[in-house]
Amino acid sequence: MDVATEADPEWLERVGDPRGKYLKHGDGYIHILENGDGRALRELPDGVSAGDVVDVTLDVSSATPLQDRLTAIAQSLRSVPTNPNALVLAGLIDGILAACRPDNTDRLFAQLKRTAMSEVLDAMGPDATVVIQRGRRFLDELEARLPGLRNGPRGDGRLIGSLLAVSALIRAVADRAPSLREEAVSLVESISYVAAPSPVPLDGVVQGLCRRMIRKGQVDLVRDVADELKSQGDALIAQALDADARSFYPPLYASIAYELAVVLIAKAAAACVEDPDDARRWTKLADNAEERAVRAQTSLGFAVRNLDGTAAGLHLARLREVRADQGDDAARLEAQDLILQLYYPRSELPILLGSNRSPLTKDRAK
Amino acid sequence: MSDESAIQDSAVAISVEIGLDLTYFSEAGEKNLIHIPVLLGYVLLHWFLEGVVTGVGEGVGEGIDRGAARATRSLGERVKRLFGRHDRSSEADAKLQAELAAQASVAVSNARAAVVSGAADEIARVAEAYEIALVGYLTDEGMPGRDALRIAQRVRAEAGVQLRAVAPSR
Repeated sequence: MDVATEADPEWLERVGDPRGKYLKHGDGYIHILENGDGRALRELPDGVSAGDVVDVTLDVSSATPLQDRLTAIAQSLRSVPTNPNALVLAGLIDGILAACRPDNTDRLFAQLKRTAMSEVLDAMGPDATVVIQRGRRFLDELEARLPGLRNGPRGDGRLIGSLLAVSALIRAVADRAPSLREEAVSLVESISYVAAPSPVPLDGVVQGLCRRMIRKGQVDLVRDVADELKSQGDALIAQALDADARSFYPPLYASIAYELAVVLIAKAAAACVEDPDDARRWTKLADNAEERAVRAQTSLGFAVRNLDGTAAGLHLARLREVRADQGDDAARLEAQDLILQLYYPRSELPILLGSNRSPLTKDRAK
Repeated sequence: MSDESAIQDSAVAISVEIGLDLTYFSEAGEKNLIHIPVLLGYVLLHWFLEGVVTGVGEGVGEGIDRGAARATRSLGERVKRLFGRHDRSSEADAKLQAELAAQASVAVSNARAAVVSGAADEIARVAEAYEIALVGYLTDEGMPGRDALRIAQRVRAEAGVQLRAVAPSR
């Protein structure tokens, strides 16, 4: 069979033109030749980049019942072609399902590498100003894509966090360059490192960028980048905690990528600084960012479980029990714990302690 | 409002300020820190007030800064003891909270006696030294400077609340 012309159209849309690619199949690979024929291989030949490897086994089934349900919803929406909104919604669901695929990050990273190569590295000339312009435009465009990836959602927190870190680290080094020439060299070096035809995954590239900077004596610069990203993530969490129940989740959701960016940077730094005290400080920064990301993520899961108010009702029942057994102060502390676990904004505290009702605490567990 | 209740309010206010930054006080990698914050609020309030007593006794000068820097080692040991407890049951937490509240109450009484005999500018200088020392302790634990400053300011402010009634007017 000519894979390039006879394969399923949806499969082709995801993989693109398979000619020249290596399809992972069973324990080996199939190399799709230029004429569309396939050649079975037990192992990948040397020098094959991650972007040229496609895991076709992923098409066998979806990973979770939720994804199966979403697929069914999208199919039913398409069965009403007269309603344009239904088709738009089906398209959005397709995007979400694509973002759930285990190879989603690798696929987007491969696209990013191609853009870096064509827009920056292949177009370089001797003029430092032009190189800087192209390098910075690449970073601008990368950053401009992030809200769409996040809100789509077209990528998970780890992907977006990695891209935030990549962009911030490259910019930090370029911004500190003492001359135009060195700024151009720094941009080209960093972007070449990101775009290298290597199977290293995206988070590994972030760690590599950190290690390179630390080896060059730029550990303080890495810390500045981590602190700035942490500050943005923490500010979004603070914004969520200060919000009312209806505007609680959007900033919480947005914070996760920033905290995960810090986890990646801080873990990489902890692993390569020589001083054990420095390593301990980096590890603690990573711990804090990870703890915040986990709490925010858990809270989003709680929001889904609490759609009918039952989960919050259990919290209210528990607080009533604590108040009856241990008094008001103990109940207040317990309620504050729930807020610090990021289940509720602070504005819910009186509701958690009293009988008022709110969107998050529709009391169903009497 | 009783002294005990006011001291508890201060400990809670400090614990709320620490909030999601609790992980910086624990050993690297330690998680599941529920119920620790208020205990830590008492520890920090106690440590700061104890510092005021010691600092006012040492007089104005570099001795205050050295004393405050030395005191951070004792803070580190107290925090380590708090997180290193084997018994984490709610009964053990309640017992420890009562002990820490009693210790903080003694520290408040001692600090009130000390500020009556100290000059206002000297007390402010001591408080400043201990606030800076606390910022140093926290940043040395990996906490970003802005968060360390915010928490140290809250500890100083709550210590001030406890001392305000008897602060000298000189």
